[in-house]
Amino acid sequence: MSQPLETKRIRDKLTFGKYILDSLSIGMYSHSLMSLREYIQNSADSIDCLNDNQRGASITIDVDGRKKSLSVHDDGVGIPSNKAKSTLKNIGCSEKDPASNRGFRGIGRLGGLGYCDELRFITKSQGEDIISVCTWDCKKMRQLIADSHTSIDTETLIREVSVFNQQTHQGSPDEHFFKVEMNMIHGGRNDLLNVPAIKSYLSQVAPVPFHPDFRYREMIDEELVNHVKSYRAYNIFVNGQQIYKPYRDVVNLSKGINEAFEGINFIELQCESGILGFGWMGGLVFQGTISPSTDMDGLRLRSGNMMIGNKDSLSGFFRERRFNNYLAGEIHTCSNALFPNSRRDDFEDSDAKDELYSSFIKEIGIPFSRKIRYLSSQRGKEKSITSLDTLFKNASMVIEKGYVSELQKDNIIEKLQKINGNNADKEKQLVAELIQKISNSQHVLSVINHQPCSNTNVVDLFKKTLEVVYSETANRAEAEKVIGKLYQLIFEDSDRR
Amino acid sequence: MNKKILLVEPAYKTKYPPLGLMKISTYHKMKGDDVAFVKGHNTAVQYQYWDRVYIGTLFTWTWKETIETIKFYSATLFNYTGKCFIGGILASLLPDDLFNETGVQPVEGLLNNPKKIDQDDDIIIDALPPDYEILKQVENDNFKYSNTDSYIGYTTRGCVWKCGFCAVRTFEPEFIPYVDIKKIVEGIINQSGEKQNLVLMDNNVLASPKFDDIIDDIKKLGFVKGATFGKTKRKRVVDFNQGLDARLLDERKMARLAEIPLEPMRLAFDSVKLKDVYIKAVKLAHKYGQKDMSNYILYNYDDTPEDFYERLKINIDLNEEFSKSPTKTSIYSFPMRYIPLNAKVRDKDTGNGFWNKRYLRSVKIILNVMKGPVMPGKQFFQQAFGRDADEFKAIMSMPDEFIRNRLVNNWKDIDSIEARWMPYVRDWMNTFYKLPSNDIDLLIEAIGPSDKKRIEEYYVRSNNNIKKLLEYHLEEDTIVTAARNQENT
Repeated sequence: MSQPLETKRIRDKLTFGKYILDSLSIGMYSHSLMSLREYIQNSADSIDCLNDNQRGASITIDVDGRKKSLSVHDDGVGIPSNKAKSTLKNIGCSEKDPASNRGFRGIGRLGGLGYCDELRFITKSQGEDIISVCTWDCKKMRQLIADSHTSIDTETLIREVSVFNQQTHQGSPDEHFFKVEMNMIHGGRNDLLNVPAIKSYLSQVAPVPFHPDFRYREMIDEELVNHVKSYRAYNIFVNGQQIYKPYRDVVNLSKGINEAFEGINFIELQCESGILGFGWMGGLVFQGTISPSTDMDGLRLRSGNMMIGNKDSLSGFFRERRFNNYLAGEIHTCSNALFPNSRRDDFEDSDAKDELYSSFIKEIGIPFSRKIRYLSSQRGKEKSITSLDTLFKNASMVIEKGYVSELQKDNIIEKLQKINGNNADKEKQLVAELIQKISNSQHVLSVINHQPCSNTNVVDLFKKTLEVVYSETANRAEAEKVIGKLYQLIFEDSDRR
Repeated sequence: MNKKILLVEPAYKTKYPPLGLMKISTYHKMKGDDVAFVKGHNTAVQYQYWDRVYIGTLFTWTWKETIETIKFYSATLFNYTGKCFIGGILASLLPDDLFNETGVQPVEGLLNNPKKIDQDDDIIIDALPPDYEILKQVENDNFKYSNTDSYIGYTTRGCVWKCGFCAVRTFEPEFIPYVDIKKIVEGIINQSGEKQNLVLMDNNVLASPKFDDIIDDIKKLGFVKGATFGKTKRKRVVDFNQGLDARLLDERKMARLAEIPLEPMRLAFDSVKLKDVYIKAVKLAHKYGQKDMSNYILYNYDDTPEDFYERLKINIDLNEEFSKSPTKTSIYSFPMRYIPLNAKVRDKDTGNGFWNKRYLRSVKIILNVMKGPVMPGKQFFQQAFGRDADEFKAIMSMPDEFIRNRLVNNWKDIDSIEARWMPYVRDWMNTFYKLPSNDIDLLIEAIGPSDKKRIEEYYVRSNNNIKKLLEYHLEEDTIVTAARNQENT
């Protein structure tokens, strides 16, 4: 056995290298719009700090394609001038209370560092005439980080790339705001300059209200307010247009049909220690998956009315992931014990998290998987019954009136032989008789010829046939093709003559 | 809040009901939980919610089936491995392998500590009576457990020995000399009613200093010689089904065993070195009027085929001797092939050079014909295993089809064993016996691994005598079919 030499606290100064900042900014999120989410989260928290009589506050996002810039402006409380410097330059030391704020780690504002060349934070709090501005030279920062010859610590790096200054405010001292400016955003595949993508993303992720056209809006709001303490919606505008959640009365299904919500079902996710989640689900009969283009597909998880992870975050708790796409609705967390992790793609590990997911599996994941699977197999059966029905109808038509094409006859026989394989003896016998009869059936024209008082004019019949081909074929191009072939056939025949 | 509990036994073939799962069932039912039991993969239960899934495991060679089952149920729990509990013999013998393969840390050994499965109480699950009711949930026309009309339990746990071939030292490391079987039986009666028989899974009851108390307990439960059960007066029997230790059987203990309806009495005859002790024990049983004996013969551990044959023969000789006595004690031999304790497949080389794949296959074929046990009759034994160890080896060296088709159709009408043989068997024997010993060694080298390709290779470079025997191995099907056809015409 070796003896421990001595156990003592490390008292030497530790170095926090430049890559810390890299990890907390560029490395933190997998998608550029996630940085936008961080700014909206800060804005929402800031608006929450306003007095009740200032509740008309809003968050305004302006995207300028020419200047390649984006700004997020809120008229929340702002940061007082004496705290602005430390708040905007320090990292990971937020004074926010995790229980009542969406953000609390003090790193979210770094999210934009990786996507633009200049990042500015501008803020003013009420009653002051000072504006505080903190400017980050992101380009320089990335160069210093990328340069393998430069070895500097995080603090030096921040001093190198950020400037803080304060100036006198020209407008009213009553104003209060916080503004983020991302200048010289990198183009190309970067969604930060893609207005429709921003709108779609924020409508699903940000704490925005339900759309005024959504008939269940008030009903759901009322229940959510009653059950979820942190539930609140904010007026968020993107280039002047207000953003609403994507929910509407009617959903498009992937198979091309529409379905209207039949009421709303509310869900309580309970465990022994209390209610962990509360949500709503649009009343659907599960005819198919909801089209992803609606942004309404899947039950989505929200905390502080902001989405956790992406639309598939709950899909893993269904027997098959696609089952979640049959549902539409939201699950809001309502427990102080559930903290979103810093990437906001899940919660920090805790008993509450285990219980939330177990309860979701129990109340939603398993029962709805069962229901959807059952309905889907029922539909499969019905479909095969309908197709059998058509087959028998066609078969009796051929027997009674003759076939129009040898191919048609062979097709019917082939299909009948297939069902012959897996049925009871009696049915097998019936099918065998049917096949026999069809094999012996005649061409429709021969049938007509044999009718005693048939005086059908052949040219007349042919005219009518062409008419049917042209008018009844659903696909115009197909019809043209068929007619073209018929022309060929008719003229070849007359040429020969 | 009552919990949903799922018990799972992997879909391997089993005879005895899963005692551990049955006890867990009792535990959860005591707590008011809903318990369901399934065998193997069951897609329907994937569409139900489960708070906990318990998977029992058995022999290590069921590895593949067991792992697949665990993975299936781990997915059923959305990989929440904290809700998946795996226990039993395989789990106790190969815990690390199982953990690495499935991500679930198994529960090792007995459920004798509430912490092992995070109980919120101090109930010792191992001490609970098994719940027989759950068995009905998996039994159907194709599958039934045996011994469901028996109280199944233990009067001791563990063993005083640490034999290399036996897994008990690992999963029941401590010898517990007394378990009150009366309590278990009382529990079973309260839960599922009375049972006809008593199956005791003790590993070494004779090692217990409380042996007398145990016999008294068994008698108190109504298992005395001549006891009957129910209106139809069916005979009640007691079975120490893991066998008794011949080394520890003495006159006094045998006298006590004779007080209960032991049927059959099982002794282990693990090594020919224990010949004298074993014969003494069997004779003692005979002296005390024991009629049925069913004795375990371990092979392929550190024995030779010759000593395996000798042990079988000793039983046959004893049967001969006893057949003249009024008790007519009859001994069935149960050959049990040694399988290494960590073997994940059945057919695993044990490193015992006296045996080879060919011999082991042959023994299996011989036993299959008899459906497992070796019956007491001398003539039958000689026909199956040979009249001496040499003939046994000659038989074991034959190709599969020769062993299966050794006798002519009307063998029962023929007296001499040679005359009963098919012509190719006679020919095989004649050629085999004429081989000098170094040729026999070469033959065994060729056929030992039981691999047709290897036999073909040896065939090319062998002398004519060996060639002839190797040809039989290569052409067994054609030869047997032709001979059978000729016989029928």
